[in-house]
Amino acid sequence: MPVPRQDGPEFWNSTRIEHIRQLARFGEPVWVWDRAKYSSRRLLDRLFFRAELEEDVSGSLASAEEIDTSVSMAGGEISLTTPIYLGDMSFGALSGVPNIALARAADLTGILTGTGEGGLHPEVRKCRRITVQWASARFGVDIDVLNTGMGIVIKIGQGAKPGIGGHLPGVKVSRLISETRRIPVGVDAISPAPHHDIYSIEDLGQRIMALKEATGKPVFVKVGVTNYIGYIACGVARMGADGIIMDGQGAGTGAAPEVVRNNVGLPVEIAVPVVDEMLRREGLREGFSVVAAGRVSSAEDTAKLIALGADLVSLGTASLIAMGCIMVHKCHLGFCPAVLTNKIEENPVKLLSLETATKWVVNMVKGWTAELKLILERLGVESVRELCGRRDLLVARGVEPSQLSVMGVKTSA
Amino acid sequence: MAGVVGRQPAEPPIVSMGSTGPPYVEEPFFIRDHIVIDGAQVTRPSIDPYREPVESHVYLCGGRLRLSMPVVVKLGHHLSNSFREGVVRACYCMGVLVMIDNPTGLEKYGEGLLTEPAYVGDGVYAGYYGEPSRCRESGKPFFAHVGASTDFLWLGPVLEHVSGIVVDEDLGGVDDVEVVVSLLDRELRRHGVRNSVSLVAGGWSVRGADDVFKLVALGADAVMLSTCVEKTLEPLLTHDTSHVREKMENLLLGLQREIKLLAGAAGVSNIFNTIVGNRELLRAVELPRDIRALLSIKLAGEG
Repeated sequence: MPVPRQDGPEFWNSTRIEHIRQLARFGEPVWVWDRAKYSSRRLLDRLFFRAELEEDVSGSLASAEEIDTSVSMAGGEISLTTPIYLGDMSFGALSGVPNIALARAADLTGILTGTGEGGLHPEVRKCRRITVQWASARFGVDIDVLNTGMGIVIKIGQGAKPGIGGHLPGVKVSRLISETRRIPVGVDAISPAPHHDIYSIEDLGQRIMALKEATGKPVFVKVGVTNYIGYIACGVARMGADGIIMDGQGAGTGAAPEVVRNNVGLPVEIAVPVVDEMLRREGLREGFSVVAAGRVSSAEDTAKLIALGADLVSLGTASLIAMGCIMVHKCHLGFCPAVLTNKIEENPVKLLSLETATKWVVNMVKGWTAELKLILERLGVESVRELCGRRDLLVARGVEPSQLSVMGVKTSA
Repeated sequence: MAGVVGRQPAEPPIVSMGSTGPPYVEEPFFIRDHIVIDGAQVTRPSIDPYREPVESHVYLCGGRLRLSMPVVVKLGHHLSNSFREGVVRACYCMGVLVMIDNPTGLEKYGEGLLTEPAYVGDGVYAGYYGEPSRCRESGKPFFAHVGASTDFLWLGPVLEHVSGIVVDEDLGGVDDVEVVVSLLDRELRRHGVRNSVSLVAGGWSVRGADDVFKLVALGADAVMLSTCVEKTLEPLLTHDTSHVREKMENLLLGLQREIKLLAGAAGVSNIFNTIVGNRELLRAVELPRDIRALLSIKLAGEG
């Protein structure tokens, strides 16, 4: 039977999916420079590293192996082996096994994974390198949960629907989910659009302080990228958060109204340099983590976003593709052909293998990191930290000049 | 929420995974495909459009006409009578005006119709539309019906007689409707009549609630749907009136809900007071400087 596919234009085309699958299968680098970038229209795909265009291999480094990809967050309290954060996907949106696989893969590779809004799966709770999410509906949140992970994420918004709360369609609210989230079976779980106790930067500051006092853990704030993202990031930093997760237009979602998904929010590649610049100007950049999310599809995207000013990137869709997602865009219906986002039943007919899924995500992270090291070697940069904010390494082709000047990137001569 | 397809009519469609829309995946076709809408967060709260009220009604002609949402429907004379009656009845019940060139047989819905000046005296109509020079004193609002052009030389002489302007792309015109709307909005302000002269714009290119929202934010009081309605209801062209009416009501209710979703996400509780002409809610992604200047909207990433 032919595999169901999404018709029409698609960012996650077969080249990108195939590339991530290769990484997931072998854990080895596939290519240095992303070949899929020529097949899409995104602004980030029209930015190039000078090193790629000039083929100027500096050769100053002995080998890619010596490159340091580690990053630290929250003033060194959390250190990651590679600048990857596995995006916040909830138990309920994903069907359990993928949640566990992501959390275990983060433990095995020394990175960090977000657990999303819907409470913790008992197996995820056993993992160490997770962040727990404090979202507007507070599903499944209590002090034990808050104390579980390495950090807390206050979710204000997400890239697929900034200004709108989380959606879990009633068809996916099975008995298990109803127990975790404490909501009736079969009823839509629509989180409130705003946090009703956070109506301003000052309110946010109080919540950050309250969570820090209660748990002693670092607090991050996740927002969708919107018009005033620079001011929002400064406010978040000023109020004592340890980092901001910026989710751009095009980021994945388990369910969102189409009209909001396609029209609200800006691409993350435009926001990252603006936020980086504004934070530096205000003297707030030091020790504050900027996580870029939304359509991060390859190691080259990672390197570019870091060069634009991010500290690390968040992978959501890419990690699902590593576990077998084929982008049919039907997560909200509960019958995912790749068994990632299907409805959670008591006796599932088919189930993802936890071992295999974990291995695939671990391999993807390893392969991704290896590709990132190769790119850094070509750039002549010794560490990821050194790459942060190096907009001078980038040139643009075919991008509107005024858009580039907002971003602080030069156009290619 | 439409978790299952067809579970409830008039629900805004729910989708999943990343956007496939323009400008970054689908090829942008219109200027508004490069425009994105704001979402409210942290510095100001969004409004929960599923639970909290968002007022979607707008007033035209200084309060003489009230629409339940910023939408006007235009029906052509090539459509069958039963189809036209179904659409008109739905719009009448839902509080949306219909522009119709021949209202014969639909006089009982007259309060919801805008029609040609030739029918002055034939019934009670909400208002009339026609070429700027064809304005007749009827005591009712008169809309100047013009194509999409930035040549506003006709405007000055007729400004005293008209209570609204309909920029209709179906009449042709050489300019983009976004640019015409934005410039005309400012032109009316320059003449000091913006609060009494309404601006309705649209036509074949309007595809849905997102286009309605963006054109309203660029300066239109209401957006005219023509091809959009015909194409949506095309399978019903031969059906009876009540069937067409039901589907048309679903379409209007769905559009209203989507407009409320966009407004709620932007933290706005009243379309007429806050969105009409509020270009600050919009940002242009990679639009050239000259077009941005015409629209007077900022670039993505500019505070």
